[in-house]
Amino acid sequence: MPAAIDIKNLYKQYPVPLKREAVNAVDNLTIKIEEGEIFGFLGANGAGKTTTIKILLGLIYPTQGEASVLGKPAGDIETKHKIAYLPESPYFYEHMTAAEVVTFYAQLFGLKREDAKKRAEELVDFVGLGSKSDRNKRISEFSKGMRQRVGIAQSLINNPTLLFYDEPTSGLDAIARRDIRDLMLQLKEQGKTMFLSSHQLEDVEKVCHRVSVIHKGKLRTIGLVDELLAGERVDITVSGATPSFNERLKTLAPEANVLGGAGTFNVKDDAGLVAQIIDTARAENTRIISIIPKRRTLEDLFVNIVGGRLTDEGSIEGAPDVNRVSANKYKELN
Amino acid sequence: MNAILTIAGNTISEALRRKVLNAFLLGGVAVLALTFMFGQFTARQELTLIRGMGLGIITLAGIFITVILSINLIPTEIERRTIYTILAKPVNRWEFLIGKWLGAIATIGVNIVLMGVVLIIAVALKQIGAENPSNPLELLKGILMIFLQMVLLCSVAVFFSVFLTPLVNFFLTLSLFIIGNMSSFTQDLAKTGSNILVKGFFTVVHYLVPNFGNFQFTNPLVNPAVEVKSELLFLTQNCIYGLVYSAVLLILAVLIFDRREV
Amino acid sequence: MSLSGSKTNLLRGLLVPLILLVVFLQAQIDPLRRQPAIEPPQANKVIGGLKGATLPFEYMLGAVSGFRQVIAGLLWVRSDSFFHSGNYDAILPMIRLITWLDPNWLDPYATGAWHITYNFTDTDQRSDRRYLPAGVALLNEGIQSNPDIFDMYKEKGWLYYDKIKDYNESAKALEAGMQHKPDINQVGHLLANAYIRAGKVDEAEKQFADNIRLHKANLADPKANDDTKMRSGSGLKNQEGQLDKLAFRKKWRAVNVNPPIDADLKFQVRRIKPKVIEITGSWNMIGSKGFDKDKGIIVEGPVDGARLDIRLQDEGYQMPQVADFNFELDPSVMIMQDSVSVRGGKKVLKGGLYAQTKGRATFNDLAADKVGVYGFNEQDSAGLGVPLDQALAGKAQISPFGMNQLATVAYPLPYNSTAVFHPEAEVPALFNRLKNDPGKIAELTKKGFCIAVKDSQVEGTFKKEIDMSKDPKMYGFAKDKYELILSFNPRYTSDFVKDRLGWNGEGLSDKRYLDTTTIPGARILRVKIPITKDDLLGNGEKVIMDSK
Repeated sequence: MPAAIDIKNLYKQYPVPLKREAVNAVDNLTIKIEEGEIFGFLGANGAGKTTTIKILLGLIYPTQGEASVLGKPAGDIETKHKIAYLPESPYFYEHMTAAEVVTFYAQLFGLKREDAKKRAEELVDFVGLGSKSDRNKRISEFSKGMRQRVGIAQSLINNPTLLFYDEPTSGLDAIARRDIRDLMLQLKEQGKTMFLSSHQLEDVEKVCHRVSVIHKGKLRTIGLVDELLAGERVDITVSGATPSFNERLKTLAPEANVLGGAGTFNVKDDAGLVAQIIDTARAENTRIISIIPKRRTLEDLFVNIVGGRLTDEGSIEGAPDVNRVSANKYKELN
Repeated sequence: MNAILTIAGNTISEALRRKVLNAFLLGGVAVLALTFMFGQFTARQELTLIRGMGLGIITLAGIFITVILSINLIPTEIERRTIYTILAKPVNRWEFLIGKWLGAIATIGVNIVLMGVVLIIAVALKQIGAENPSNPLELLKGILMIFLQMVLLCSVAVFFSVFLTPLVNFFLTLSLFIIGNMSSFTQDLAKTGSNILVKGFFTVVHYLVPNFGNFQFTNPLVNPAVEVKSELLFLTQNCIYGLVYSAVLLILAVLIFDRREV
Repeated sequence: MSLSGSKTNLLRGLLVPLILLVVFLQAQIDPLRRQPAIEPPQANKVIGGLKGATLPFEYMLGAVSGFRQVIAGLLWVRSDSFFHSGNYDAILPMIRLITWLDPNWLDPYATGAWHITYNFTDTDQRSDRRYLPAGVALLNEGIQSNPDIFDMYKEKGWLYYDKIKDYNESAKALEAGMQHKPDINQVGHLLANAYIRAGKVDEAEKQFADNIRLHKANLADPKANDDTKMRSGSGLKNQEGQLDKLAFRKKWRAVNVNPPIDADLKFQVRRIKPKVIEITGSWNMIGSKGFDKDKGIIVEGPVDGARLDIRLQDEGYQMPQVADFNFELDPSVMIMQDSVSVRGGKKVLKGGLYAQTKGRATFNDLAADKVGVYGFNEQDSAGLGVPLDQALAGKAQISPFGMNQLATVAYPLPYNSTAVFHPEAEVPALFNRLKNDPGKIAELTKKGFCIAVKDSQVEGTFKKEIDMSKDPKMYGFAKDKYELILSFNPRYTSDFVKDRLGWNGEGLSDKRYLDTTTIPGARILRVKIPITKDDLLGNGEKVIMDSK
């Protein structure tokens, strides 16, 4: 069975006007996503997430490399019958109602008008826009959350196998975000494949099987959520620590210290070292209250990888300079 | 085909709601109604004036509606990003383009037909009781020519819109419209130009620039006494010319749009 | 997904044949688009005096082409108000603009040409003939823009007929008009008359017959409307009458022109004061007084109304043929054209009837006029004859011709009679009746009727003062040499003159001034008098030329 998404050595270059250099929006990206996987695609603004999605949808074309979706080249028309796309902050025709918008898109799948209308009504109800007042409102009167719901509705018309969701919860309040997260979990349970690009790391952590981090067009890391977030240190809490315990502890883990005979210290998560500390405590009549492995957050991971602080808006403070490729190097690659 | 018609239908419904286009339509209808007043002030027969002015007003309004509608057809979809959700569906780019074009010319057609109906009614009313009234439906020939002219103009604007900004497109399309109306000028210069280069240049211009001047059919409708030789042949050739040239422009637009990144 | 390679190639491959098709179609459309009905050719013309500058038709653009009729209409209203206020100069550029804006509107051409050729006049209403070429050019333009309609041909034909008096050119224009569904009354009738004035009698006869046929066809046409039928009905009657007249005129003019009359033209040209000349003279112009269609001229004698044309122009001036309408004039060119009516000729033979007019009274008796009775004033009738009552009492001999005259004057024929005199057999009885009717005799005597005791003939005279001092714009006297041409062309004189002189002046002669070369086929009177600027502008009176 072919992978749901297969990206190999993908490049996307944009020339910089009046300069001989070019910018790599996507730089030698290789990712494979299997069917049934919920895949988180993380990165700061300008990292290349939307560019990658657009390449996969055939909206733009790669400079080099290959990308396939459901076994067919990216942008294949037949494949589009099985995929769905929810762009970031989706725009719809302002003069239409939610049902009319979804009907319009349903017709693009080849449904006859009556069938399209019926399907639209179902989906509008499903996303919570089925009330009488909401039905008659035009898109121009919708809030951001309501537009997002319309976006989700149109993404479900064809009961897709693969969904591309780009920032589905961006700009929403907590309740709306939760609703959409619940929906994504529902889709996960249905065995859908999802390519999810988001800044909401909490949602990604809860929903995704695997995540990747892309920065300045390059893939920085990829892996199962649990593995990536697994910690490298443990917190050990003791009480009744004797001075001799402290002395011996210093020889084992110089950075650890217990003041006042009780407290928590943090050491490297090494089985041998932890065992030695336990033996030492026992020998020195020090009581071990707890030993807790420390799990990282995605934000920690993110910051570690890209070397800067992730702001609420998803930008990196103090990020290094863009990895520019000179025109000559680009010619070498080609 | 379903996708083309769906997009076309959506384009029509969106366009017919646009205030600026409706303003031109209403303006055109209002001035048409005002042509009744001109008979008071001129020595010409009122009918001559109503016919002439009427066709002129329809053309002018048609130009503004066509250009403003067509230059924004594709760029607005890209700017508002509505195109993403459409092209993410099983819709070919060429289907999207043709659907938008079809919707645009249908909108233009609706506007021109509306104004044309007002004009025909005005002429019919004016002729009540007249001796030797002419058939007001003869004006349909002129209205058809105006419509085809606008179809060609729309095709030009759509072609430019796939690679130019609306502002540049506006001036370029209008310039081409003006040059294209100077068919006789370019034809004469192609024959009488000062040297072979000038002649060659104007020959190319005459045959390759869309000749909007072909569709000027106002004079025989305003002066029914003049006899047009081979009228049916002329009108038919114009229809084919307009459609074939539009096809050329649309093919070029499809080829360019196919590789355009949205 | 982008188009597959094969589809892209297919589309690219389609482009070339489609573009070739576009070029082919354009080549087919071009000649049809340039036809006058769709794109009047005169729209591509010089504006005013801007030589070399053209304003192509397309500057009007298809977009605004409908508005040009409105603008043209507004301008025409404006020019009409200029006309009514007498500002004819302002009309000229407007005519240019209007005919350029709306070349299929016929009225500006027709009325414009009329303005140009008739309404630019001097103080004495003589039109400025320097505008004639422009008028012709304007109508030519009208024809070029409207080649399939008779109207402009008719206008040109009329201009040549009435103003320029070139009947061959007039006929040419009208013949062209006949090819385009003409109004027979306007075009066909005028063409027949143009032929007559051009001396082409046989062509005129054919044209009358053709007109009759066409009128009959109109009357028989079930699709013809009431107006057409009415006009064709009256036209048919008119043309049948004309053809009838032509037939008997043809017959009698071949006979009545002999012997030719010696017109014996005499004249004097005198400068009265600077720029003012006076032309006086006399001639012996004989015409038909009483004509019977079955017998020809019954009574001939001096006639009034024949006109002598007077033309003063630059030496050697010829009316130019102008290709393009241009209302700019060459101010150095000078042309003055006028005419004078020759009147007062009279004649009576011994024993014949005449009327003595008293004081300033003129003699106005149509019945008497028809039988050759002239009025002689007191001066001319001194010793000429005796009053009728005395003549009937035996004081004067009445000739047989005189008796005929008297019988017809005393007992006029019915008004619709075509005979000139009573039948010869009835004259004696009528004469006796008169002699026994003292009341009638007294009545006629009171009217001034007399019997001549001797022959008497007085030539018709003319006198015209031409004052060119009031119109310096028209009469600039820029040149040093001029020519004064006095002429009489029998082709366009009245029928009662032509009955005696013939269609082409066959019955006309003059020892000094007969001209048979200026108008081929015609015998005219023509004298060309060289005049200098000094002759015209000098102070005081001067006899410039005296034919005696």
